[in-house]
Amino acid sequence: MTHWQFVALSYALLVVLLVMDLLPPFLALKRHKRQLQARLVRERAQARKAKLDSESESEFENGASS
Amino acid sequence: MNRPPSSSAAPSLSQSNFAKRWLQLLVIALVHELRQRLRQPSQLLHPIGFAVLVALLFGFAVGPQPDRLAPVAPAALFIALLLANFLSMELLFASDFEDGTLDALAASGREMVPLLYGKALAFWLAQGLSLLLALPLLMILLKLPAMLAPTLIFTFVMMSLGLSFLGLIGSALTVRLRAGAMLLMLLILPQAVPLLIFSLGAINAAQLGEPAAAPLLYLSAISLALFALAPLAAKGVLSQEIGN
Amino acid sequence: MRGSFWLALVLTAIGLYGGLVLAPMDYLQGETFRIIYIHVPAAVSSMSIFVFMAVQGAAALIWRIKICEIFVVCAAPIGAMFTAVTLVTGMLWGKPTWGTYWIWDARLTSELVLLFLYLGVIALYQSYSDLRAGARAASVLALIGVINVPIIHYSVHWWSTLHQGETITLTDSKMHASMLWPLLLMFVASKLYFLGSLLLRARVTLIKQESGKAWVRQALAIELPTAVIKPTPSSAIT
Repeated sequence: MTHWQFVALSYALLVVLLVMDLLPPFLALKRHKRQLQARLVRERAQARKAKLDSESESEFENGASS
Repeated sequence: MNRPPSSSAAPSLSQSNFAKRWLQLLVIALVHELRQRLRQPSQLLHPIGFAVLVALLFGFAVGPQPDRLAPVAPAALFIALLLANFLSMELLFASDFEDGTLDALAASGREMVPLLYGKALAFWLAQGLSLLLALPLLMILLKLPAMLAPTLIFTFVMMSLGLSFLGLIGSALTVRLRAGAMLLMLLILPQAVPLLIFSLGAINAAQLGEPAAAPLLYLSAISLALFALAPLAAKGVLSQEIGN
Repeated sequence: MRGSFWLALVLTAIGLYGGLVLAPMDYLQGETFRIIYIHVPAAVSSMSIFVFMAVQGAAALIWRIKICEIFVVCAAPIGAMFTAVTLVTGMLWGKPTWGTYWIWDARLTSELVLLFLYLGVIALYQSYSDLRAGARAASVLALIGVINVPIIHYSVHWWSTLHQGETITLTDSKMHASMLWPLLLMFVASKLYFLGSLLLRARVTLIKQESGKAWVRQALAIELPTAVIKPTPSSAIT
């Protein structure tokens, strides 16, 4: 192996190790964000639904009384 | 762990009383631990058997030529003794942890440090020093000259002292794990490198007929520092462990 | 965090260009000396990160500062990575230069033991189910390690010189300026990389630990695109 090949291999392995350092937290961050955002969307949808249900009930009562 | 009822209900304030109580706790813990270990005397032979086994593997793996064994003989001896010293170290706190003694200890607010000293010293006496019985056989197997015996004995006594107290911290760190043995080894073996190196340095010097004072002093310094400080560290770790 | 990464990238690019293209060939070692532009900064980082970790650990244990616990845990894998880089590049440098991949001298052996110390901290933390207790245990181990590292280094150095004498020394000769500045740049780049990676990992750990808290949800809600929430048609009521 020529000297340059040693140097190139060193840099290649450096890149590999850097990726191994950065990739797991990066992917974990994405996963956490996705999960939390899904939960937020669900909660907002539920809140909206609850609000609409209570609105429809009050409308129904108003409609019935008039 | 059975303790006699405290002699005075009021906290003793004088220095000598505190020291006396401290030593009492140490002795109680020491005697208790030793008694537990002596309950099954055959257990004491396990480390010896393991050390002999490792020496056997070395002797066999190196090959039959005599000049190949001689250079590695002291190394093989000390590695065998080192590894044997680690056997069942993870069990140091295991039984106390399981039956709730550790929790009771932390809750009672009693002095933990003398009890930890008792445990570590008991471990050293039962496991470390019992390995001295294996020394003659190991020296024969690895073809070490008999004149090395005094140096070997002193070196190993100091090394196992350091290892026992190092193991105290390691056991405290891994007390909650069920299969903590491997992790304990992983944590403690790198820290034990200086102990091994200075032990080997002493033996090498003795083999060459030179004074072995320097490495022995370093070895003793490390071991005694561990003797002084490890129980404090272990107490800190256990207090946090049990506090959760 | 992102700024740190970009800066590290730029500095690395400049440093590498300087090291690989501009710097003249070493008259002793030929082209392979260029590996030092990774090897030496990585080696320095591997040790300085351990000290950083121990300092954070001490702060975490003495003053119970939560963020220090997180830094201890997050610094360990990065330090392990740098130690691995040091060892690997050291091996690849040693082979063409001195003919062998490995030698049991003080520096390499101590570096290898350092790798195991890092792995021990990581393994200990991961064995705990209670993350905060695990961080504190890791802090204790880091502190013991940091005291022990000089002792280990000294003992291995003493041991190897006993047997071989000082056969291999790093080229401690004065470096020409054109060789030196890329090295200094790489030092700075490695520190910036560490900062960026630490903050990235700390972010993940914080989110994982605090995901139930309101501030996390608020912070993420800001990033939430409003188009995701579909308005319910009001005609459904009648």
